[in-house]
Amino acid sequence: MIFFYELKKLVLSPLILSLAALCVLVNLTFLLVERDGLEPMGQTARPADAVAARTVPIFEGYRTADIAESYIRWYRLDGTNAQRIRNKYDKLQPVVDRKAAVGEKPPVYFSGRMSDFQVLLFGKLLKFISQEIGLLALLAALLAAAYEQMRGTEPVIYASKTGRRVQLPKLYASLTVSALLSVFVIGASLLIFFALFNFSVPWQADVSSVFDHALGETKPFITWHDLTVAEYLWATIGIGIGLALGCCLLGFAAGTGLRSAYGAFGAAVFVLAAFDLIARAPFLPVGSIFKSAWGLNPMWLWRNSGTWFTDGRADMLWANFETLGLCAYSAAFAAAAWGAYHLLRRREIH
Amino acid sequence: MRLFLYELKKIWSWRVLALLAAFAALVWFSILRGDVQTYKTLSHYASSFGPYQREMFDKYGPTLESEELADYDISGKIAALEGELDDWIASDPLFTGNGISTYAEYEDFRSQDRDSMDKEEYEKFSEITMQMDRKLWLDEYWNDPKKQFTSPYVRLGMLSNLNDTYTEYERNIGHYLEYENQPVAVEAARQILAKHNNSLVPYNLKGTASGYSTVVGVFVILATLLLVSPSLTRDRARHIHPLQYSSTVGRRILLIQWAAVTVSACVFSLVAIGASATALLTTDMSAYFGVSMLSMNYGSIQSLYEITFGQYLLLLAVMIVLLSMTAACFAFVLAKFSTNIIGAVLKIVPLGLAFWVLYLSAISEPFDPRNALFRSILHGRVVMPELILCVVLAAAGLLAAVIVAARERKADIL
Repeated sequence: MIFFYELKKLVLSPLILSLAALCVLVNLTFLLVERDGLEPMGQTARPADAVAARTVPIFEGYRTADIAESYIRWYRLDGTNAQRIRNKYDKLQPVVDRKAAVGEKPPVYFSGRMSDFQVLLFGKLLKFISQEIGLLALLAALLAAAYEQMRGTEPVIYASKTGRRVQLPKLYASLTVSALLSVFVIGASLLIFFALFNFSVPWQADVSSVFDHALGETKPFITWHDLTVAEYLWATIGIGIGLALGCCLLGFAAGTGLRSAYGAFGAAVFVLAAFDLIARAPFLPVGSIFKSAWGLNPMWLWRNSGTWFTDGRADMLWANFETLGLCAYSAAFAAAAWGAYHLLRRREIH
Repeated sequence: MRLFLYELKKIWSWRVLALLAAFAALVWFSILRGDVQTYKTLSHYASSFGPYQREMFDKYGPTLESEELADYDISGKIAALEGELDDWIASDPLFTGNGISTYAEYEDFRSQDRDSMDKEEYEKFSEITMQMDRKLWLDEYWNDPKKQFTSPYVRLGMLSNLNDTYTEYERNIGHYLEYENQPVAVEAARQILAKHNNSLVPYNLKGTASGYSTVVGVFVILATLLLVSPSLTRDRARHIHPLQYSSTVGRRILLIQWAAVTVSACVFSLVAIGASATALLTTDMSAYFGVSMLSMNYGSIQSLYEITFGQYLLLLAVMIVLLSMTAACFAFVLAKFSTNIIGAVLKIVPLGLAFWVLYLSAISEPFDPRNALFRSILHGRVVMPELILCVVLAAAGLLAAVIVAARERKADIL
């Protein structure tokens, strides 16, 4: 019962609803601007290339070691850092061999304008959406966690045993509302995308065959697992929602663990800023374990959403880094939320 | 005055200042320190002009006159380096094994018709030219620009760029005028042509200052919002405002709070700009305060207006202070409609993000023909649109805040 009351408070919060609507509005504006900026079909499509490329088996004889060497050269790596990059791409070779051996998935490599849509949907729109729903989840959790303190009802609530446990339904309510808001923002934004653009792709074809190349690079789009375009879209959405729920846990941990609501907001923002800024710092060399481990954080994952399920460029040393990062940080934030909840139950309220 | 000081005291809480100091440290170690170090490295040996442009500046001052250009003798230096390269190439088996014994022959070798080659020939050709390039560039010293600079090929490239900028400027500006159709950019190119592109402003000076100021600007705006936000809703959250509004002095409290917020924003932004500028000016940048930014270096216009580097930095600082003040004023207005801190945060977060996007899309790379506001939105018809935008936003922010504060003096408390 308490859960539903808490859920009602959040779902009917005009501010949270306005923020969700604002996110959709921002995405709509962005897509309209992008649509105007896209060159007419005739100027980017290269039908001759597309037809010729359909007969080229792109993965046959493709060596992932070449990708490793190009990164090693680009970042000027040597020693163990370079060796780690080579080891990762050696592990990717069987994936490429398997893709080359599978005959039923037609290679539609260099299919003209695919690249523009690929970049727009997976490189930009889904990146923005993941960040927006993460922020919404964080703010919703902060609102839920600090609600009683803000309203001055804390001393009344904490006088009873049930009241001392009220944070738990609040956590479940904020997780539920984060999921609901995520579904709303993703659904509305994708609806707008598909209404504005003719994204006619073979949804059941292998994503590595349909997409021209890895975002912003010249190598093919190689996923560790065989995914169709539809599966890839769903998987990306899943990771995005997972990260939003992780942010919700972070917001809840901060809101419950710190007495000051503004302090909780500042702490959560500081943690996210530290994730992002330290990942950019020059003292973390590419190819090092620390750089790769630091890159599992939600901020880095958001910034590189276009590389999810692929090799993750030279920054990442492990396969399925997005799932690894999501699990690791969700567990860490959940532990923090759980710890904050238990501390609150025993805290003196002044 | 005492109330104003009390409001200031509320804003400058040591906890928030500690949080901002931690943010500032993160930004410094992650981004800004690297920018300063990169500038220092590029200034000496690794930029497109190497140390030559700076050498000319030290020798001839902020402008380069025609007799000074003749005195520097770029073509003589290029000829000497080509001779040095000829000797090097003639003694290297990689080149002689492919029938190349002079630099001119190497250039001919590289410019072969690649379309006529089959796949195998093309791959072999690419491999050989790559090996030659790596040798000429002294690629094994990739992380030591000073050693790489000992290569005559590297120095030759730098001197060619210098020659292109100061001797061939008429041709470059002619090309630029052929393709440029935006009035302010065209006028700037004509002015550069009229003054014989004589400014010795270093190539990487503006890019470094502009990129650095973008990071500082975004940090200052977001930090200002973090600084001023907590105090704005405190009275309402603690239900003190009915008490305040029962007296004439209390009725003025919003005006006082607004003044405190605006002053805090200005002071904080000036302190942050001063601290970050000090770090930047530990490089040789302060020597270039008097040099004109109206110049075409390496085919691109540095600044569209006849301003010195010192004025350029001053304008950047003014824009950051104006935007910081504007952000504080809008935060003040939004906080007025919030009864608690989380309510205010939920409104101020989108405001901060909007300012962030605005800064990156419209204010970064100011006074540059590539600035998005100048080129894409105003189509190069307006002079200094970045500054105008900041002034208009600041005026709007101040007006909105004053209206909100003034209306409160007669508002009914329900």
